Amino acid sequence: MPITVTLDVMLAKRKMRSKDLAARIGITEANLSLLKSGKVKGVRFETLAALCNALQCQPADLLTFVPEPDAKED
Amino acid sequence: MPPTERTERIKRISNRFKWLMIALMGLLPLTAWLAWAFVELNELDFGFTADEVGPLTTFERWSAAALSIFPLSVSLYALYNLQKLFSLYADGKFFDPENVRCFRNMGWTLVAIVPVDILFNAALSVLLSFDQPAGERMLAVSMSSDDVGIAVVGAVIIIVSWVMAEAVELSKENAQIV
Repeated sequence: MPITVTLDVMLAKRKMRSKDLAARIGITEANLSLLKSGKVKGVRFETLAALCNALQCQPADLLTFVPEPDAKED
Repeated sequence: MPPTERTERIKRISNRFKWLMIALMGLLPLTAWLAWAFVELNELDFGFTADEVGPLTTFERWSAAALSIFPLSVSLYALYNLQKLFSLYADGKFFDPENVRCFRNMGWTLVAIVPVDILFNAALSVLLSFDQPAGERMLAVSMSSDDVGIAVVGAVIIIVSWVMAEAVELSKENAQIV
C-alpha cells in the first residue's frame, strides 16, 4: 500500500499516548493500533477530522504517499 | 457494530423469538404425535379420507406416528436453524457467516419439505389402506398450492442468503475502515 500512516510520528511530536488519543477521539485502542500499523483498508473523514483536531495537525501530517518501486505514472 | 436503539430492539425481540422457536421445537412433535394418537383421520388433511382407508387401528396410528418422523425432522431442522439465527441476532451478530448458513439451510429445508411431504402422504396412504381388501388399497400422491408456496418461499430465502453473503463481505470490509 503506497499510503503510509505517520500517526506514531505525530503522537511522538505531541508527546501523547495512544491510549489518551483513543479516548479523546472515541475509538478503541485496538482500532488505533491497527491504524498506526497501517493494517486498515481506509480511514473515515470523521476519524481523520477527530485525529487532526486532537493532534492539532493537518491530514497530510498523518498520511504520506510513498510510490511503490514498480509503480508507473499515468 | 456500535449498539444503537435499533440494534438493541433487534436483540431483544430476537431473544424472544429464539425461545418461541425452542418452544415450537418441543410442541411440534408433541402435537403431531398427540394428533395421531387421538384425532380422527377426517380431521387431518392428507389428500384422502377415512372412508377410503377405513378407520384407524392402534397399529396404524403408531405406524403413522413413526412415519411422521421424516417430515417432522425436516420441519424441526428448519425451526432449529431459525432459533440459531435468532440466537445470533440476540448476541448482536447480524452479519456473521453463520447467519448466512442459517438462511441457506432454512431455504433448502423449506424446498426439501415439499418432496418429503409428498412422499410422506403417499407412504401414509399405502400404510393406512394396507388392511383394506384387494382393489381398495391405494397409493395417493397429492400436492397442494401450499406446497408450491412453501417451495417458492424456500427459493426466496436461498436468494436472500446469497444477498446476505454479499452483506457479510461488505461488513467485513467496513470493519477494516477505522
